[in-house]
Amino acid sequence: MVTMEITNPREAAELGEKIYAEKYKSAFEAEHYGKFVAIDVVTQQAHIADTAEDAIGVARKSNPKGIFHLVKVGSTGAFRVSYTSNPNANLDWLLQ
Amino acid sequence: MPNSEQEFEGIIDTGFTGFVSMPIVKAFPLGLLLAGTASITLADGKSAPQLTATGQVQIGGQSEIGVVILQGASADILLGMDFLAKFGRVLFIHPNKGLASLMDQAEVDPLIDELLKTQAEVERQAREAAAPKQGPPETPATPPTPKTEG
Repeated sequence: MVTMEITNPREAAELGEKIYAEKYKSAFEAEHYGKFVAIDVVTQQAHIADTAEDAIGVARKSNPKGIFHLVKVGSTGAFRVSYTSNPNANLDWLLQ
Repeated sequence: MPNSEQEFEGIIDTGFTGFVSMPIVKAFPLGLLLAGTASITLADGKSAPQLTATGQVQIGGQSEIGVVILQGASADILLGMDFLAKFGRVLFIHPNKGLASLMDQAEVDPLIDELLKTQAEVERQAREAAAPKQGPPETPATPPTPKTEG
């Protein structure tokens, strides 16, 4: 198992996107379109479910201390939002 | 919420596909269980990574669990389409009557079913009216018999 330190949310998200794109995207888009995937950014395991909370729940059972990046199969983001004041606010300080 | 309860007001954002989005400063006192991150697609098509947690929301006697997006600088709590679906609510808007109402899905569904049935019947009648009418087969015209003189 690969171990690494996640120091900020942006890094975790980028790592999660990279793992998903390289290991799971093509297969999941053919078979699980529209479902949610929680990628464990440390173990690189993917946990798939119909809903976002179920995907995270399954992932957390597998690794209670894991950090999970949520992906919706076939979409650019896990969620869409239309109203936000500052979506790019820097949250890197949170996990430092 | 698992460790603490607090009452909030939220804005229904029909362009938000998720459950709840809230400012992180409001989420901290609730002790939400941090899940990780998710990429959020914004209205302009750009993506932004956000922190996520799982949280429980209670309205009246009903409580639902979902993924809560933790916004960095927003002051507003947003309730998305997943929130409405989980709580079985329908947003009814009638701009000409100045009416916006959050209705119980169980009350609305029979009306919607009736409306869809009526619409299907109207469409069926329109299709029938537009289809070419089938009458009795036309008898071929008898060509005039050429007169012969001899």
